Formats: sequence, C-alpha cells, structure tokens
Amino acid sequence: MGKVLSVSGLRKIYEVRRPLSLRRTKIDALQEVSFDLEKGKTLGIVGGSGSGKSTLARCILLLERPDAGSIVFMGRELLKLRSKELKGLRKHMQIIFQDPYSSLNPRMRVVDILSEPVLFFGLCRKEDVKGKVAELLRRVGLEEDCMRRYPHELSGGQRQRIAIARAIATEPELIVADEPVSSLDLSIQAQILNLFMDIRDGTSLSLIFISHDLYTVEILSDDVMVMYGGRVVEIGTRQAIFDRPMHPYTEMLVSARSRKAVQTLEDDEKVEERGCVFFPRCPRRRGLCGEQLPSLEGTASHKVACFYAG
Amino acid sequence: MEGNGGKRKVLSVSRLLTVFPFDSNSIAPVDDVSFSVREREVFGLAGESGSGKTLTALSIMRLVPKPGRILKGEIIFEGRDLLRLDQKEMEGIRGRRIGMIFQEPMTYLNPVLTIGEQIGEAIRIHERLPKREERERVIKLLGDVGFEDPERRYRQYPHELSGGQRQRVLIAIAISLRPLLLIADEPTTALDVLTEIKILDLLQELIQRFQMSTIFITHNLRILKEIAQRIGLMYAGKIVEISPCHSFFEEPLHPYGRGLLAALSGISDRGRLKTIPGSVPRLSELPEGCRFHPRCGSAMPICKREEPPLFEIDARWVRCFLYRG
Repeated sequence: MGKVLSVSGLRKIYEVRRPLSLRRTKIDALQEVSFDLEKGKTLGIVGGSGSGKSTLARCILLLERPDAGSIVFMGRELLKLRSKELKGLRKHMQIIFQDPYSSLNPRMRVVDILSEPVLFFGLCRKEDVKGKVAELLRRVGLEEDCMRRYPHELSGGQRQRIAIARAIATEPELIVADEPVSSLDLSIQAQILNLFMDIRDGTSLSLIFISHDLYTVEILSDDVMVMYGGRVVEIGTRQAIFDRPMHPYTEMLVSARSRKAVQTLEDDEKVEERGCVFFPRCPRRRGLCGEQLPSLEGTASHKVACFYAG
Repeated sequence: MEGNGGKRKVLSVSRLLTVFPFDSNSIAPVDDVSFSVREREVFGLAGESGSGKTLTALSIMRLVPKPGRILKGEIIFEGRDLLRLDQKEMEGIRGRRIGMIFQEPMTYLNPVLTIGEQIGEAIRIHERLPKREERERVIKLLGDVGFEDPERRYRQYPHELSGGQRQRVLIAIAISLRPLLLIADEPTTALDVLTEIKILDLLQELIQRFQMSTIFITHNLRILKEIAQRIGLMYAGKIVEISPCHSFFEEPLHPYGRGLLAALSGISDRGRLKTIPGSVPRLSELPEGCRFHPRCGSAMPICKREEPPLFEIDARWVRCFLYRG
C-alpha cells in the first residue's frame, strides 16, 4: 500500500531548570526514533510514563518541533515545509488527546466544535455544514440533538466521541490517538475501541494508537512499538511482539499481563550516560550494557535494541 | 472460631447512607451499602468512577468531606459502632487500628519533611517513644516495605523518590501501628505497570505477614482476581453483588458484572469487543427502579418500576430481580 509516514532519527531535547538551581539540565525526551507507517495500518505505541510516547505524538504532528531527524508524511518532508505549505497538510493529520475534558473548548457548542475544522478547510458549502455535522455525529454513534449541547453536558465517553468526530471531520490520512481511552471507565473503553475499529475499517486511514495498556494496543494494532526512556527498544508485528518478545522490558510487559512474577531492579539508580536506557532496571544486564548503547537491529518484521535479546 | 480461621468479622458495615446536598435536594453517593470484612481477608471493592467506592472508604474512616455527611447506618469495628464514637475516640482508631493508603502518594506526603520525620510523626500521634527507639522503628518499617537502604531513605525528601517508592512510604505509614484493618484505595492506579506489580506483591506479603484484614478498592478487576478473596461490586452508589472472588470470575451473577467481564475478555465473534451500552447515570438523574435497567439486556417490566433488594443465593448476594427465587 505504500508508506503514509516515515520517521527517522527523531530527537527532542527539553531543557529544564531544577527548582532553586541556576543550572539547566538537558533531558533527552526522544532519541533516534525511527519507524514507518503503511497506509491503512495501525501502529500501537506502548510505554510507561516518561517513555517519550506523548512527545513523539506531538512531534509527528509538529505541535512541537523536534531538534533533529526527519518526518516524511505523504511524501513531503515536514521539517522543511514553510508554514503555509504545512497548513495545507494539516488537514490530513489529526490528533485525539487523552483527556476529553480539556481538549474540547467548554464555551463552544458541539455544533461549533465540529463545524470549525469543516469551515476552516472549506470542506463543504456553508449551508451544508449542519448536515455535515449531523453526519459526523452519526458516524461516531451520537444523536443529532447533541449539536446544541456544551461539552460539560456530555459524559466522558460522549466527549471522546466528539473528539473523534472532530478528528475525522477533515477525512485525514493519519490520526494520532494519545491514550484515548485511559481516562474512561471500563464499560466505556470497549465502546470507544469499537468506534476506532468502525471508523478505520473499510477506509485507508492510518492510525497511531498510543497507550500504556498492552490490552488495548493488542486489540487495535497491526504493528507495535515499545518505548522506554525516549528510545524505541523493540518494534515489530503484533504477533512478533506478543508471541516472541525479545527485549527484557517488553518481556516484562507481556508477562505482566498474565501477572507472572516479574523481576525488575529498583527504579532509581543513576542512568549511565553512555549505556542502555533500560540498564537501571534490567535483570539481564551485563558489563557491556552500562557502557554502550545497543542499536535497534533485526528484520523488517521484528527489531530489538538489546545486546542480550532473548 | 478455632479451626475456622478467617471467618470472624473484623468490620461490618450495614445500611450505610452518605449524602451530599445537590441543588435544593441531595444525592447519595453511598446508598444503603452493607458488607463485612472477615479476619485476614482481602475484600475487593470494585466499580467504575463515581460508583461510591472511595466515599464508602472515607465514610468508614469518618473522613467524608464537607458538605457531605453520613446520614444513616452502622459501622461495627472491634465491637463498637464507629458512627457513635466522638472525635477523640475516632482519632484513636484512625491510623492506629485502621490504616489507609491512597491513590496519589505525592498528595499525602509533606514535601518539606524528610521521609523519616513523616513516618515518625504518624507513630508519634498515637505512641510516645524515646527519639532513638522511634528512629529504629521507622528504619525497621522502611525495611519492611522493601527499601534496601533504609538509613539513607530516612533522610530523603519525597521529591527524591520515584512514584513507586513514595507509595512504599505511604504503606509504611499505614502499617506503622500494626492496624487490624487496612484500606487501600486504588494504591497502584497512578503507577506504571512494572511498579504496580511490585507494589501489589509487597502489599500481599505485608497483609499475610501482619495478618491484616484489607479492603482493596479498585476499578481494575484484573487486580482483584489476583488478590481478593471476596468481591463487592458497586454501581451508582449501590452494592449490586457480593461474591467469593473465584465464583465472581467464573460466573458473575449481576448483569452489570457479566457485562464488565465480557468487555474485559477481548474480541467477540463479529470482530468487535463486547460492550455495555450507554453510560453510568448521574446520581442526580437516576432512573426509576433498578439503576442499571436502562443498560441491561435482561431488564424486565418490574426492573423499571421497583428497586431490587439484595437477594441471597449460595452465600452470594445480588441486587437483581432475575434472582427473585
């Protein structure tokens, strides 16, 4: 089908100042992140807090500018585009955030929230906008009378449906969903996951689905990428990752699902500057791991960054 | 009770009603809640957000935030009704006989006091010890909750610890006076998966070692499957089912429990997940009759008119007319 997105060598550094200190320290939020996304496929990104998965989401859409690397989207290098050109491409890439309470403007009615992208990109004639909004609501399983409501009048699940409707309003090529079900109740999570399958199936929409929860990633993804400490530690097809995890971190996550005993070391040891990002918590670490950084190696369907991959 | 270990009731909550004013009326986030916790048992209290789990726990501790108040009910603990104790007597129970662990460890730790001082303070409220003895107790506790270098931790401040380590400190405070009952409210929800497992392992070990009874509150049924002996499932302020853990996961009685387990089980035959339609009602807009009936696939005419009581079958309790007998 061809690639819709190709990311390589992406890097993002944050400079932070500790409280009461004048010194600035640099934090590598993303380092050497590379992956491809095929048209119509779903890539699941898994990682704990601080793994860089949300930073990655924001960088892909240029909501934040990466410090190095390349992002090729629909054949264009995003980092080299002028802002006017980028604006034209924005229509094709959309994002859905975790918290539907803060990602919808509380002073706008649903009809205005959903008309905004339609009008901004001139996707239909002014007099047809209402009809377009009604159709969007139908596609995400909401009644037409939602239109006149404000976000606070809706439940969490309904709000996330509105966020999804807003994202699909422009018929994008790519949607990045950053923890879209994490703040929802269990009985609602399944509804929203089904909705993702509904809007994806039968279209060429590509999806990047970010979650800390392996279950939801397994349900939706064709490929899975595992992140730790700002780096990709393993990437592969869903089957490869879940049936034959190779990185110790992935192994832990996968066996944690069945609540098998998991061995990790204390999580506060100093990270070795040169070594593997997982070194401080790795039960399998050896001499080399603290001194050298393993690169991501393997086949097209399964790559891992570990000297002693299982 | 010899030879029948774990059967005696440590805590017995009955017909608890906790209300909050709402507009000119009131809502009841804890509505007619009854359950008991047996000796050395982990009782899992499950439910989605807003179901009343946390307020049930806070009611037991008599810490319901204003303007909420406990209107009715009985909470029998060590032979006394906690709702009839005066403030001073209650303070003797809170922290000493009942320990509590919360979800966000950082919120409950004082950023300007060292870890050692904070655990020491928790002990000091109830027991006056010579300084050195207190310090030794704290260091022993830090070891109990799995710190390898308790001496160093004693001098550290909360911001120097990771989320999991802060939760260990809260656990140390909760068990510092060897309570009979431990209430753990979503103790691992804010943690990443690997830390969660370590904290759960630690809790299980401590519960066994100190022979505590525990109320474990969580929205995560997978956790309860692993650690609880019995489960109480809440929906919109009411307990809808109380069952032994294994029977619940084998075959939940209440349609809501069945729906939740189906949603957890993964893909259904048409390539979609099984779901419970609709969403949890607001407490101010509860439907007539059974609170779950608008979302229930087995709803009967009576469910729309009458609120079902708890029916008992085979030592399980369920609030559903399907079991009217």
